[in-house]
Amino acid sequence: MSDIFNIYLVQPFFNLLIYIYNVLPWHDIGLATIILTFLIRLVFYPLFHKSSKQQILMNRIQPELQKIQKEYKDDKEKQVKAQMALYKKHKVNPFGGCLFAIIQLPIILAVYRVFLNGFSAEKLNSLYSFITKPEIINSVFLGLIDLTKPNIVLALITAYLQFISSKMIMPKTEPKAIGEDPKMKMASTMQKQMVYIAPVMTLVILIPLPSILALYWSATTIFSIFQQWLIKKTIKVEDAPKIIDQDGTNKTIN
Amino acid sequence: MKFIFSFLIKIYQFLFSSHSGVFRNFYFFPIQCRFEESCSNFALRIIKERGAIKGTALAIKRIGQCHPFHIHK
Repeated sequence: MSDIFNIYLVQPFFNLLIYIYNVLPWHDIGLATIILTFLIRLVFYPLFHKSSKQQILMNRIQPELQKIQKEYKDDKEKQVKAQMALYKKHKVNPFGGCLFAIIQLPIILAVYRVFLNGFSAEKLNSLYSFITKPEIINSVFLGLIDLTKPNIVLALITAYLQFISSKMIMPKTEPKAIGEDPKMKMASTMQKQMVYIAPVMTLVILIPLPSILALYWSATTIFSIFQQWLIKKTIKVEDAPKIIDQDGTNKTIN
Repeated sequence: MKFIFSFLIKIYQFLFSSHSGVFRNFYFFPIQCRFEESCSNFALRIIKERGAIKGTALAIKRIGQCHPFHIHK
């Protein structure tokens, strides 16, 4: 199992990283790391956009879904039909569920593995034949930071980026409106706590690890922040997730 | 038992969840939610209310309902 994981997932990403390293005029594994991160993100961007949009749509049709449930309480067949018609009307793809999302986990783990494995001579020997094997890997990022060793400054930068990104996803709900619904309250308390807990945890995790992981994490977070900002800008205002509850309170959904 | 289960779910939420976890940004796209309440929050609540065994069973059932043909109740 771990062989399959190594051969089909870790190795391709490792080779791609070294290929980028070779192509760069200025051989720097740090820059190669950033470029690889951005490339992967770019490939998955369409899925991110679609998924985010779907989530907003799904939230928007919740009240209508509840209406259907009440109306066809005794006829399950009709309920399913009405539900499907509603999905179709709002262009919600009902097939994107949690199962679909699990496919990304092996890829995330593989890329992490590449950076954790490092660039020893033994690892470089396992490169594909058509990738030029570098004599030595320059692991000093921008001539400043040795990425094979832990680095507190990079860890701090990552923690700060994590703080910004956690703050961005915090729901801007009126405190009053949340207070009425214990379910919403639970989710929002969680996200509020995470604004401070996430950066601290990031720091604790990164301090003992080679700083190439901090660099990879930073690059990932920067891209996420950018995506988040882009999605807020590009998904039209009329799609804005504002739902009026039966009791008239506003619920803003992220 | 109740405590251990809730603790494990909390760890998932704090670290691995694509909505709130520390590693959230590593996901390429967020996991879509079909329900108003997330599965992990539901699990925490139901385990508290119904106990570890019944609660876990209900939580697993809930995860199994994450498909397009599920009828909302």
